[in-house]
Amino acid sequence: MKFLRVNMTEKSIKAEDVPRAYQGLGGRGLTSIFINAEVPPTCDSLGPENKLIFAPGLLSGTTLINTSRISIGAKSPLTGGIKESNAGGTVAAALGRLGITAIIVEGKAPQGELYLLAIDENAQARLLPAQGLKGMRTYALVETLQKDYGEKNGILCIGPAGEYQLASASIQSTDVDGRPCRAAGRGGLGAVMGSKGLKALIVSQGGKHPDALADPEAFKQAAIVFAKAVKDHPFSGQLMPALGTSMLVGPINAAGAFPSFNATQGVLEGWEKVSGEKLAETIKARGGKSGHMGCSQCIIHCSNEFVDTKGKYVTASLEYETIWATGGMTGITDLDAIARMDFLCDDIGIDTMNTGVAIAVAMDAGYKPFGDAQAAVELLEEVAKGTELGRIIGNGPVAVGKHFKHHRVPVAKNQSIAAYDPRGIQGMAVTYATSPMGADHTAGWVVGQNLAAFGGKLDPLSPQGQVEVSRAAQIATAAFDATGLCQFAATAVNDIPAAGQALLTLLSAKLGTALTPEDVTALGVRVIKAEREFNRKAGLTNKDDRLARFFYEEPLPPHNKPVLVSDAEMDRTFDF
Amino acid sequence: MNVSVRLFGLLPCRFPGYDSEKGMEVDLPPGAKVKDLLAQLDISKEEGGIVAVDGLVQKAEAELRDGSVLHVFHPIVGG
Repeated sequence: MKFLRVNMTEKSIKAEDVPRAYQGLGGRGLTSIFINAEVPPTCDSLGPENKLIFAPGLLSGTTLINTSRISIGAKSPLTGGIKESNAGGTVAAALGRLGITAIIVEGKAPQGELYLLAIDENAQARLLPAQGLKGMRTYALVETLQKDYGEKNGILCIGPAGEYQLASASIQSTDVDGRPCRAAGRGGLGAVMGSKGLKALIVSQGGKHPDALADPEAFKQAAIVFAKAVKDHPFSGQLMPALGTSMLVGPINAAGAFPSFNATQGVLEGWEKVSGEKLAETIKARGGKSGHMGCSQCIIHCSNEFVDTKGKYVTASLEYETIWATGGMTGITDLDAIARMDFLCDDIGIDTMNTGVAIAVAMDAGYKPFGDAQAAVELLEEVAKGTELGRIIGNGPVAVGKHFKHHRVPVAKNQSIAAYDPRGIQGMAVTYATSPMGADHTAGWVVGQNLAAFGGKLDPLSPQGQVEVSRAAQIATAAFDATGLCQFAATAVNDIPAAGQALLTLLSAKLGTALTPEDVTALGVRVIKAEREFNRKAGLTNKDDRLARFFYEEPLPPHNKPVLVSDAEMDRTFDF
Repeated sequence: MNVSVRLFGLLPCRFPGYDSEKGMEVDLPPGAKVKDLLAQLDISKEEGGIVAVDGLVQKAEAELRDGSVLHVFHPIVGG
């Protein structure tokens, strides 16, 4: 139960008890409420007034499965609003076991200076000069740090993109194999870390002092029930280990909602070449790994290791959203090229989604033809080198659209959409437009409800009922993101009543209060209210709760619908 | 009537000899709906959550036509 406050201006570290106002919060709940309370909303996101907060979830560091999601918060240089970006890997569990509720990075090191923050197994933190690591890409960086500090560390770090303070820069997180292949990709938080002069956080995985549980026995019993439900559910127990997230390529194309060729087509011709089924088959034939474990304490194993034709490691884990952004949007249907781009994005430390879409916008503007994999890889190398064009690509789709004077830029609040076209699944239009995070599929994923054969009357091509499902999903997600649990474990919570009850028991047994489902909803509402309050004070209004204009004006084949959710409907989403 | 069915995810494992390139042909009574096809193939709603008919995702009550091409996917959870 402590905060570590790291001041990069003074090079000081202070441990303090968690202030009362933040007690009982974790993950996104903590980062968003903290940022709203402590960061001046109109500040320069890359200046000393912004704060970068790393918070494991409420259940991270406990024995519960799948609880190693870390939330990272700050004012975003991409959206100009509040940002929570979360990632899996090993650091959240490690911080939880050290009894650290959050690390808060404040101030700013003098320009050109670079530091590491190392936290040992006794939760003692040190700031160490790291000039020698300047410009290093993340794979080489992590290898060096593991050599110097030992392999039993979880690492969060930035690559060249973060040092250049590009608006799509990510914070990379090591997986259980020690590779920096998990990402807090969205919103440019790598640029905030770079602006502070912080290259990496090195966190011992040897902590033995997690916060005490209020009711250890109840926790233990509920944790068993929860794990069993996650294992028993066909999605998390069978489908995800077999195919991973790329299982979505087929159904979303079948729905005509897979934004392709810079969101001018809803079906990618040749999608079978990049489907989850094809990916699993390719990996198996080459001796790579499917059903691979990526994050601490995971029992779902949705990760994979993609290898080349000689069986040599290329990247982990090739995910649906990356296949879409670097493949569907660019018209590239070659898994080897997509895997190469995924690796490069991780290595350079940049969001695969915002960057794939940035390249797609450049192609749509005529800079290079769609499908030109060589050109796409070269553009990523430009980002790494920090050339003028590389910086434009690395600042995201809006920067590219401005540079090439191109109007079709698929964003909301400057952040690229994800792999569900809002014209093909109108509920995603609501989530993209109204999420305080900018276009973010994880903020309120309403795809399943829209496409389900047995899922009521929701029509993906109609605006009817979409505001209600998006609102409910966004509130539930805001609460869930406070727990540190992986969203793929949420399937069991939604579908198996015993798992939902177990989650309430787990949270109650951790916090020592008897929580009800209404309390959880209230937390979600509280978090979204804090985020919207910050955004309002930062200058964002209802007019920012809109998608890029072309989504309303250019119908998407094959269904030929534009976004049909009206502005008034959008504004109803959070009329609380 | 006859419809053409393609299966995805782990569903093909349920049908020995299923050809993933060609899919399979299924005979159904006239007026059959999406839910009838799934029942005939013994695919539960937990297994076969998403069905596209001729390129458009349909609900369980949607009627099929002779010659329809169906894609059957598992229910999905976010990405």
